[in-house]
Amino acid sequence: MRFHGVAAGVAATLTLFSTTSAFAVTQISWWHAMTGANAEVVDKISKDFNASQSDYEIVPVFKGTYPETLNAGIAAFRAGQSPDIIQVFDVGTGVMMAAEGAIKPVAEVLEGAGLKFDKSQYLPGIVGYYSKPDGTMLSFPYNSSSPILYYNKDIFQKAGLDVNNPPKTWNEVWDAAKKIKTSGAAACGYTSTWLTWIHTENFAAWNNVSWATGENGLAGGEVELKINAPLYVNHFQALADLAKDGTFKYGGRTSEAKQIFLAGECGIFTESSGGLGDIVKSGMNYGIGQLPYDSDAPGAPQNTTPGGASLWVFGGKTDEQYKGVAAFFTYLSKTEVQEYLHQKSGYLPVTLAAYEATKASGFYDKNPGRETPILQMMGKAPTENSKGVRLPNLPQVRDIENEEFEKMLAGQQTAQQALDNVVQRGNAAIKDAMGN
Amino acid sequence: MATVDLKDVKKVYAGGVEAVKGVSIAIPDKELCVLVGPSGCGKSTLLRMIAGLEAISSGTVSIDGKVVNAISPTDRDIAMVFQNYALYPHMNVYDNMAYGLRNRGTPKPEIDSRVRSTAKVLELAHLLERRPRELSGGQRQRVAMGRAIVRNPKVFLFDEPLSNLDAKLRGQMRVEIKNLQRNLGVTSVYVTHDQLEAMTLADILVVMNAGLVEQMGAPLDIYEKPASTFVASFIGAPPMNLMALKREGGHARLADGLELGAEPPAAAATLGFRPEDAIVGQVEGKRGLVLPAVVEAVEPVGAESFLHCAAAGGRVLVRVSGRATARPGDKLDITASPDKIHWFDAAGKRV
Amino acid sequence: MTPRVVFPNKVLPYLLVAPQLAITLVFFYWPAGQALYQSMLKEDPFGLKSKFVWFANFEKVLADPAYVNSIKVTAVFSLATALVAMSVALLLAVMAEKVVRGKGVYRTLMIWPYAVAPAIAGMLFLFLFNPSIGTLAVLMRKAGIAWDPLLDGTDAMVLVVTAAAWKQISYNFLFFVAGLQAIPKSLIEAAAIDGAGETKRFWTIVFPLLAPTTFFLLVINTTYAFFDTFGIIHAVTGGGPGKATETLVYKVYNDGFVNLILGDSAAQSVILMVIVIALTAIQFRYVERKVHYG
Repeated sequence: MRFHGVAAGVAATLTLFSTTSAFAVTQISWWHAMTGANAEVVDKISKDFNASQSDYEIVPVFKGTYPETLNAGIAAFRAGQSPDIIQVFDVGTGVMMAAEGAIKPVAEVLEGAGLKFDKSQYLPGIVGYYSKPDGTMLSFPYNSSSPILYYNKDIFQKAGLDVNNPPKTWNEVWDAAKKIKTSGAAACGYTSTWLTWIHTENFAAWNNVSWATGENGLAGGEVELKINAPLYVNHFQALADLAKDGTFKYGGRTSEAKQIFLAGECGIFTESSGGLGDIVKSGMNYGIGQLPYDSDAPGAPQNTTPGGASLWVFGGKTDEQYKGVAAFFTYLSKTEVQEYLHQKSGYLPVTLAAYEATKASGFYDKNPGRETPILQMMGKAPTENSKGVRLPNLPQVRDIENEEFEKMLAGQQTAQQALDNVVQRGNAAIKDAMGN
Repeated sequence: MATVDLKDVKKVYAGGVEAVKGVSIAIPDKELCVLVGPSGCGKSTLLRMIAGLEAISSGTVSIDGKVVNAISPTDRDIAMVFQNYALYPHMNVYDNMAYGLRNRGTPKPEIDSRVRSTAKVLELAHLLERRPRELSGGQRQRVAMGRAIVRNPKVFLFDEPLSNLDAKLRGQMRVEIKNLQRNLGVTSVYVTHDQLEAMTLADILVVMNAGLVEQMGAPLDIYEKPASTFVASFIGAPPMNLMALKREGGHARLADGLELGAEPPAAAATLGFRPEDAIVGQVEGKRGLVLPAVVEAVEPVGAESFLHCAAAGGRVLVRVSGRATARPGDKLDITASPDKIHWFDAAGKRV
Repeated sequence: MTPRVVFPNKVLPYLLVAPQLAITLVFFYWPAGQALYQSMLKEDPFGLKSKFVWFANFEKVLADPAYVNSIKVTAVFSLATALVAMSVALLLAVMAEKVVRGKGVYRTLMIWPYAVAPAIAGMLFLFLFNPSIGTLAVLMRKAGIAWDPLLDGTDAMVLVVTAAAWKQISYNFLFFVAGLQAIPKSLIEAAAIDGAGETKRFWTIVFPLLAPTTFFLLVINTTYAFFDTFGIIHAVTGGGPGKATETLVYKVYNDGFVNLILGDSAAQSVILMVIVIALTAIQFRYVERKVHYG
């Protein structure tokens, strides 16, 4: 971490000097939070971009985890030394959007450079999430994912479930989970990562129910949480009931539950499509299905929303730098770059052309699970309930949700009480955050 | 009250070092036995074995006729006065003295009366509320004594109790200890390296050297008839003059060939005489040892003076009473009468 | 009184203390001042809009039930950690005194955990006690012990206390060993002769004489549990479940760096600063004077 800090400092200094010196090449700094295979992708893309032209040079700098990168960006901005591009995770989107004076919308960056930005070429579910209510694209989607269902085929076999037919609705999940538990096929039937993202934010979109007023916060203005509606209450009460005898097993607030699934303790698992890599690597006999929907919801399934991260451009840079950023984003949008990104990292392609090209290459025939999240997101045109959620303090609200869910799962309160508390505490926190 | 019997007691440490090599001592009831010897002679180890603080490697220690080898110090009913007093620093004088009684479940009123009467005897009554660090060295020593006395144990053990006091206080306390021990009539074992303390305190004096008893007996008997050159040089201050002998033509001579006025016993290899038995000048009618000597230094002490001389057979120390007339460089004769000469064999044993 | 040193040169003394002053100013007073100023601002993360609100942040923080909960959590956590770390260390130190062979090796091994970074220590315990993957958690489950620190607040507290205490045991052990060695052996022997058994000797002689060490360690351990256990809590429970292990320091981090509510976070850190100052004052006042025998 420390080394990266030093490296970043050096890089930032280099950037500062390079802009004022007589170098022909304009350097563009890019702070990111990618590790492992995804970091290699970042480096490869940067190198290829730098090789493809001679005016600009992208300098990628690893800044730690998503929250650490965001904090580093904020600190750098306050110190007057912000990078040109910063990768911010979905949860931080609201924070960035609220900081209008600190950032420059991607749409403006592209137009300022004389480039035309054709929205129709991008996957609508993704672009919609990173746009202002009036449609102006604020950040450039870099890595997007969506929750899907994974299941352990061996456990399904043992439990006498249909190996080729994963549960499609939540009621089917509960039934299958109970069967897994009672048949002794596994210690637990079902587990899930990210209860907040999967069971409230995506639950809302997929079942086309409101998560919060004002288009889940995307419309701007006052926002009030709506997640104590009966559909949510029934859903969470079912989870709480299943948790009592261990049919549902809670793993933690983020992606800890993946370990439980990988250990073969649970038969069914909901998790980000980005988590596929580890499951493939484990050598498990797994299957993939769409995220389950609630059969009581009319019109379900609707569409799921993206998680992951997007690239934001800081304000106050020179025209030359913005031109460089625009050139880089244009490069990123190229079909072959998107294809590479999608197939190598497991994240979703941002452009329709990249999706079509991947499909045509037969990649999805060999890797059927890879298409599932795209189909989920593209199935229907997003409604006001399904464009995602946006709050200036989403991390805090997620914390509140997690705290109340944990108390509920520990048997200290009912789903109704938990969700009422979330709404009450969450609304107070949102109001406070908006009062800035 | 009690007797203390040591039978062939040995101490071997884990590393194989033999600290005590077989010691047998019988201490009758009410008597004070002093163990004296140079440091490392095993006297403290022996005391600690009697106390139960060191395991006994072989042999037996009996108190009041009962073998106590396997009995912990807690249950031996002894009291010990340590060299550093070992007063409990977080307790006041009263609690220090009461600690042992409380541990043995003595009723409170009895504890109080015993602590107070003991404190009175030791002139500590006004100090009962003080902490040890608020006391002078002599007062701490008294508290250590008080802590031992108040318990009324079968045996007192003293581990160089006076060595941390200044000379004046030491002399005073020596007398007090002797009187207390006699009045209380408690069998005691007292360890010291100070021969003066040993001589003045002991009913039975045990001189130890290298883990063995060198000589045992009444102090004056030991002074008068030291069993070995070691005892001769250890008991008595200043120590006895010792001179090596050699045999030439059937006559014993001193190292430089000087003939002796008296023929020594056949086995004698060393002769010795005490500084206080040496006479300056020749004495008519006494055919003892006559040494021509040169005065090297004179030490006037007041009531007496010591002459350090270079004599024919080696260095000699002479005690003269009062003020010495001799000056450094003076030549004189030193005479020791035959009845004052001690003879030792080649192994250093008395002949 | 210590003698006064008089410098002939008027400037030299100031030059000599200047480096220390500079360090203190840059690393303590400046950030402390910033925190104080920040604590009276209501500001967005980027500092684009800020409003001076006097003590509104403090009022808000102190009225927040979550903060009150955090105070309770911190009290329970700190006391439990200090108590466990100190009693285990004392026990081990007493045992170490009795070891005849391999004393040095034993002591060296005892010191190792202190070299482990808090976050790493946290990860270690997570690997041992995580309900799904933890080695010991599996054993506990097999033994029929209900163990779920992910949902059970008490289990989570036990886990972080264990991890935090484990790391501090070495430090305490060192001080207790030194403390025990400083007690003259003859005192223990005198007590034995005075008829006190081993247990009684410990409680009436050894323990009271260790009081200065114990009190010193109590302050140090409390401070440790207050401030240096962030890494452990971050790695093991993240303050959860619910808010069962959210200590004051963790809340400062969470509100400031995760929730990006800088004013609240700054106000909390100012409150913490006051607590540290109080603890230090207590240490200076009592450790140096009250509990002292000589």
